[in-house]
Amino acid sequence: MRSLLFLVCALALASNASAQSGLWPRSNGMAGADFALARGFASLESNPANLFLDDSVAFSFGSSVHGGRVVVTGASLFDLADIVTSAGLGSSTLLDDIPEGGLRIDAVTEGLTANVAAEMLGVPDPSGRADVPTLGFTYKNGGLAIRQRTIMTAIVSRELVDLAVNGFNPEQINEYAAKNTSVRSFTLTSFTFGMGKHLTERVAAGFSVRYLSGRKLINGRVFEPEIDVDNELLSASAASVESRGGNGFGLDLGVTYEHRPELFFSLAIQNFAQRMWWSETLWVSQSTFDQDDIGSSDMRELIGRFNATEFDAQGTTLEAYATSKRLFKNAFLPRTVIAGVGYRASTGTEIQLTGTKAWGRGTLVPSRLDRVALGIQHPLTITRLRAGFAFEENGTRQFAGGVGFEIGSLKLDLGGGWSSGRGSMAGIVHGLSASVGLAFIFLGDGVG
Amino acid sequence: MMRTPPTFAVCMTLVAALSACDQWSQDLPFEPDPLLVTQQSLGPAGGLVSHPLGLSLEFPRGALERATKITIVVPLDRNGFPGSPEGRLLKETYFSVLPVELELLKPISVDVSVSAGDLEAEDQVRLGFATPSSGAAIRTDGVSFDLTSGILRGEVTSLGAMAAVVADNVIAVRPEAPPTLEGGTFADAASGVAPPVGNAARADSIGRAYSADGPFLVRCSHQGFVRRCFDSGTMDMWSSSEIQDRLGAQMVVLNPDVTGDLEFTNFVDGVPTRAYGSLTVTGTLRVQLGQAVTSFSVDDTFVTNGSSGGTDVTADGNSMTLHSTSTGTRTIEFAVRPSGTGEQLVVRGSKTVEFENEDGSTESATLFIDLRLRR
Repeated sequence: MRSLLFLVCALALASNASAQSGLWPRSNGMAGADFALARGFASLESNPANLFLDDSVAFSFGSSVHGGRVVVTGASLFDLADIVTSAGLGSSTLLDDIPEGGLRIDAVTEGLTANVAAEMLGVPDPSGRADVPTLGFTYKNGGLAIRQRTIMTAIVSRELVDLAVNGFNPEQINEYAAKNTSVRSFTLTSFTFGMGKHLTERVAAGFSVRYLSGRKLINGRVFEPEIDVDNELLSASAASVESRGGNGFGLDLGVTYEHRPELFFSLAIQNFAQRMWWSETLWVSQSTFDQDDIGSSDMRELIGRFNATEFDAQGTTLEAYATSKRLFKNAFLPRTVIAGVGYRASTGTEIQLTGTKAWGRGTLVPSRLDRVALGIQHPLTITRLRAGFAFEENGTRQFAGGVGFEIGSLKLDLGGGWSSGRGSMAGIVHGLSASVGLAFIFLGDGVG
Repeated sequence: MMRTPPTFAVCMTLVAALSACDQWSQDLPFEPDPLLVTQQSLGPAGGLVSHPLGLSLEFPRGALERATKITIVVPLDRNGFPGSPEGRLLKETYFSVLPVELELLKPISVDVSVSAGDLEAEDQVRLGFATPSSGAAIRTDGVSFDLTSGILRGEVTSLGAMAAVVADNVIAVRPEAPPTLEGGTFADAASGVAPPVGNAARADSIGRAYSADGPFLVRCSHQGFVRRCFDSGTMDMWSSSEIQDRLGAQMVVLNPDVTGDLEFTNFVDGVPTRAYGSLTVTGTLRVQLGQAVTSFSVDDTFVTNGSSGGTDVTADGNSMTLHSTSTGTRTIEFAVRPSGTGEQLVVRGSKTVEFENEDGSTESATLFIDLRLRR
């Protein structure tokens, strides 16, 4: 448990960065609101119609070097850190906010970030050796973006968190249970090609075609502990099943209406049509832990016990079968509708309001939270000051801020945010995001 | 003259067609198929053989003498389990593992997938494995059940048909302290046939004494044609409040098996001073801990082993101490009652467990077993 928490925290906090929607540092600094006024490479994956707006850019190149977001349900980030390091000697108050459904951690990072974090920690790379930062470039009304993204969701039962925080208590031997303790992770590399075109003088439309390369899809699960009452010992087994490859495609459509030169309305449907096929060659890892392992062992040693072997459907354990059942369940991208309005004042100040809603069953996204975000950017000499605020479906509020530096065509963007809230069902929610990116942008004719 | 469809209409048709393509979850490469026959060649090094429908067998090193092809088949007639297991067969867990005649040198671990949600709570602690080679008996030793995943785990000692069964040969442990036994007077003493001190009514060649009314006997089992323990009133179990607090109130004993005889002699003032005999109680204690059901072996045997194979006895009220037994000195609570034309002796054994507390102190908890012996 401690290992799981530590890994997830490290993934999210060791370096970075952005992305409720896997977007760029500029958007991350505005709580994900950058949509109707996104231009150049930043619009490729969100609304390709913007590639051909009169105010768009002639050439752009950008990279989101590192980025990620972690959202914890059931504990604050500080409490999570205490839980991770408590080694059986923590405060019982750490359990106060954890709901019956357990502690949930959602993390999304750039694939390269996950790779670097895993290397720093000396643990297996969950990204499948993702080694390229997110890149995007556009020329006139077309462009290409390459993104590697690792996403992980971990759930730890309240009872196992209790074990990690307070250590093994023989008086509670009848209470320890793994329940829904599990982890799900995947890394995708996407190649998105987009084009935009004017339909009328004020309306632009665009499309993006996305090729998806699945690098790794992992489903892991902890099984109920077996208890030796005579000796008051506890042991539990865990299994993970993974698919190490896959292919898919997605089609995005977008349209933008330029009401006035300073006011834009945008609508886009991501993954309007999509398919994903994962490799059917599966790998399985299994190991067993006792109460001392769960409470305090070194995570490298624990993770080192998992050695993947090829899944033999005629010679495996029921734990492996049970873990594999959810591996492919909804392992594809959901259809997402984004609508937004953007206003750019003559002073250069930008205000954007963006709503996002996911449809369908797909789960290959950082989270499926429907949200509304409001963002603002204000230019100040060579800097661009940004702030944003978002409401999310589960009652979470995200506050974000960022700064960009522009020297000629060179831009350096930093963005980050803080999430907090208390959902009616899930308990308290806390999150942190950060990202950093570089860009070259050459403006086209008629740019406002 | 043919009209060219408007570009817009073509685009809209294409878009509508594509948008209808909402994806369904990809199938696993081994979707459960009842017609699938799985095979593995395993040798003395052991290994796994499994069926995606929900069976996995783990052969430990040394379980097989030579390389053997192990086959798992889902029987077409899932109501056709051979034999009559004592309990309710969960037919969806019925598999046939071949070769049937294969001799196993060690028990093998078997996991069966059981739909926990389809079982009543009281059935979840009564699961065992049925195999034809063990006759009507159900294997319950060492069985555990993961209520979250539905994995039932145990051991079998032979191949062939195997299935999960909700055992009905079960004694529920009463979640309360037992009533006090009242002691009493033996008929030997009351009838006035008790011999003088140091003598017996009858004696064998090694000097062992016999009582006038013969020994008290007890026998119940889960095997053969012997009467069952659960419906014969032969055995009762109770748990102290400490056990209920620590392990929960729902405890049962599966496959109880009791055998024994006790003969009391050499009465002084109506109280026996010698006893001969033995008592054996076996079974599987089952309890739900958290989200898992766990088994513990019950195996309590004592034999009087003093001079002439007997033991000195001292009795005080409802308490009787047997000074020389295979497990040392044993003090048991007892009651003697008339039973029809005969006599019933109730003896109470107990198993005390020391539970460790969070602060390192210990707490005693006791499980009580009442046995009714008759003569």
